[in-house]
Amino acid sequence: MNRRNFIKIIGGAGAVAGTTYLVFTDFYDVVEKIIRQELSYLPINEDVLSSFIADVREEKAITQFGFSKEWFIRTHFLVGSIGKQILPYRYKYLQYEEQILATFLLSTDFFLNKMDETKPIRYVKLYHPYKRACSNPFSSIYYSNLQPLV
Amino acid sequence: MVVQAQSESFDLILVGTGFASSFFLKKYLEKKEQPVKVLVLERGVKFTHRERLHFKQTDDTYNGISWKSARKAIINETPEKEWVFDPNFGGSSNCWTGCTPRFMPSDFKLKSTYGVGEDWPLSYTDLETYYEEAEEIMSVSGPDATPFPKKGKYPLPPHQLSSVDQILQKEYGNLYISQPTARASQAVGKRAACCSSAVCNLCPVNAKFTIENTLAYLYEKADIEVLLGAKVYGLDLSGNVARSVLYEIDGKRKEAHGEIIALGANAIFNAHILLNSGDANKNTGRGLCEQAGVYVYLHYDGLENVGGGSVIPANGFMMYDGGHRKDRAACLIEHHNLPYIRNERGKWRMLSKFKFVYEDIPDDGNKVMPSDDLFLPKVNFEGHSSYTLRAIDQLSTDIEKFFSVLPVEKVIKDSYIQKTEAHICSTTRMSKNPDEGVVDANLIHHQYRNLLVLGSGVYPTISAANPTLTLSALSLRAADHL
Repeated sequence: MNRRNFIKIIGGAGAVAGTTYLVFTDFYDVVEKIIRQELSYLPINEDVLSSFIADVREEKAITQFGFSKEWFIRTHFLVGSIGKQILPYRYKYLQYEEQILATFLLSTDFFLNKMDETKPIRYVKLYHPYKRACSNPFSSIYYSNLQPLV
Repeated sequence: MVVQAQSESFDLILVGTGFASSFFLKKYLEKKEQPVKVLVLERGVKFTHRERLHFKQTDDTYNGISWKSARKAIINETPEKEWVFDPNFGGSSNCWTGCTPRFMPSDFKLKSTYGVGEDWPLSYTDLETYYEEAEEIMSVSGPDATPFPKKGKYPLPPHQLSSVDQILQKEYGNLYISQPTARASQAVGKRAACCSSAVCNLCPVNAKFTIENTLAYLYEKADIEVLLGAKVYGLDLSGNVARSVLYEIDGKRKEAHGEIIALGANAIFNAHILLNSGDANKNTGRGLCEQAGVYVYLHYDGLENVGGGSVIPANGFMMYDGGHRKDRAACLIEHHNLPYIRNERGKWRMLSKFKFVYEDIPDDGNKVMPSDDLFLPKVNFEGHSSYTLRAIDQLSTDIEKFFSVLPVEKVIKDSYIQKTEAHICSTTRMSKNPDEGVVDANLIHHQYRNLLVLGSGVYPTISAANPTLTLSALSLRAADHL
């Protein structure tokens, strides 16, 4: 086998493996991996994460991503582990990643505890403005000491 | 086959039940000393807030009827440009965010002040008392100091500024204010106080003004006949008179006669109905327009952005009015307060999301066109004007100029314009004469003097500000001047 054919085979195998991964990997598995990877330094126990993943699977409502955005996230997550600068719109992926992390953390008491990393993080309920109205933890309800300068 | 409506003739036939129609109807009924017969034709259905909430809590599609499904209600030749509306009872009050800044006085005289666009045939002063009345009806929350002239206080106190907003207000005074908004800061009427759930298209606690929660009573009066599911497709225009309205309901075509006919659908449908009717005014349908929005994220060094009292706690007017408008568009800044975060340890909320909303100038190439389908308007949008694009090109420089007061660590600017601002404007522009527009300053058609065309379609220029308050004030004024 010459070098060119070897590269073709390796490249083809990589493409097949990547496509297989994208087709068969559940989106919520990707969500779970993103949370584990990005928040590894926070005191999050397994129960918290599994409760969250179970709820988002049931609600199918995490951050209201549509089909195309889910694929965008899967692709970037896969490729990102190989080389982060390969795909375009990396900054957009990072924004979506932040939305996923926000949905997770908003479903816990992390922000209600004013982002105290020393406190164990407890699961509250899936963040859903129509089922948990008034729970934006950055709003005046939770920071009423700021007075308007009218 | 066309058959007569049950009541043959009406004092007023009103098409649509959104802001334009409802504010017009309110004033019209207040002014009438004798009983009047009114027919209201609404193409959609009526949902209560509770029903809409149920749909959101279950499948998020309004039972298949939503502003997303409204995409199918038009033939969009340029689908990359979206037009958002809710074709049901209450119109776009069902999906608006509730932002109610007034226009600036210069917005009414853009041509004479800056040599751009057109002047309106009426001034800020002509509209001022109607602004106040519309704000009262909507129970608008807002600050005492505003960049536009304002005589009294807003009906409700302002929403709390966030920590970032406070710094900007200290720097810019009344050019950076708590946003005037129809998201109630205190419970009023059937509305609860806003609690920043940040999903305003349907407020979970019904804090936002909607037709359904405040003005639905108008449509329950004895003399008002409301037909839901009535799709208006044309008018019988004879000579200089609009004699009747043509509509379809339950698969049957009908006709109703009116002394006065007021089109209060959105700017796409109003133009479509006129074009279907053979309106000969060359301007009808031309100038389809809305603002252009660009998001920017600012990351801060050591500054947490917390405490905002509503989904958009503040508006910035620093890039709005001034000599730059001779060359490039005005920009209204919105500071957004969704629960977004930054994925950096210890810096979770050290960021802001701003939207920079730019005015545009109506261009005849963007238009509602004659459609082969009686019920589906055809629209085409070639793009935003160079006037707008020049202003957007300046955005990085403007951020450096106006936000250096904040400890900005990083600027992340979207490389694209939002697909829509959910504002449809300028397809039936008002003017002093029929060569330049479709309706006069009282929103009466230049040719058909018993026909009014309401809504933001009448804007000769659109400013950078949200259009709803102004179109509501114009409807009050139009009914007052009948």
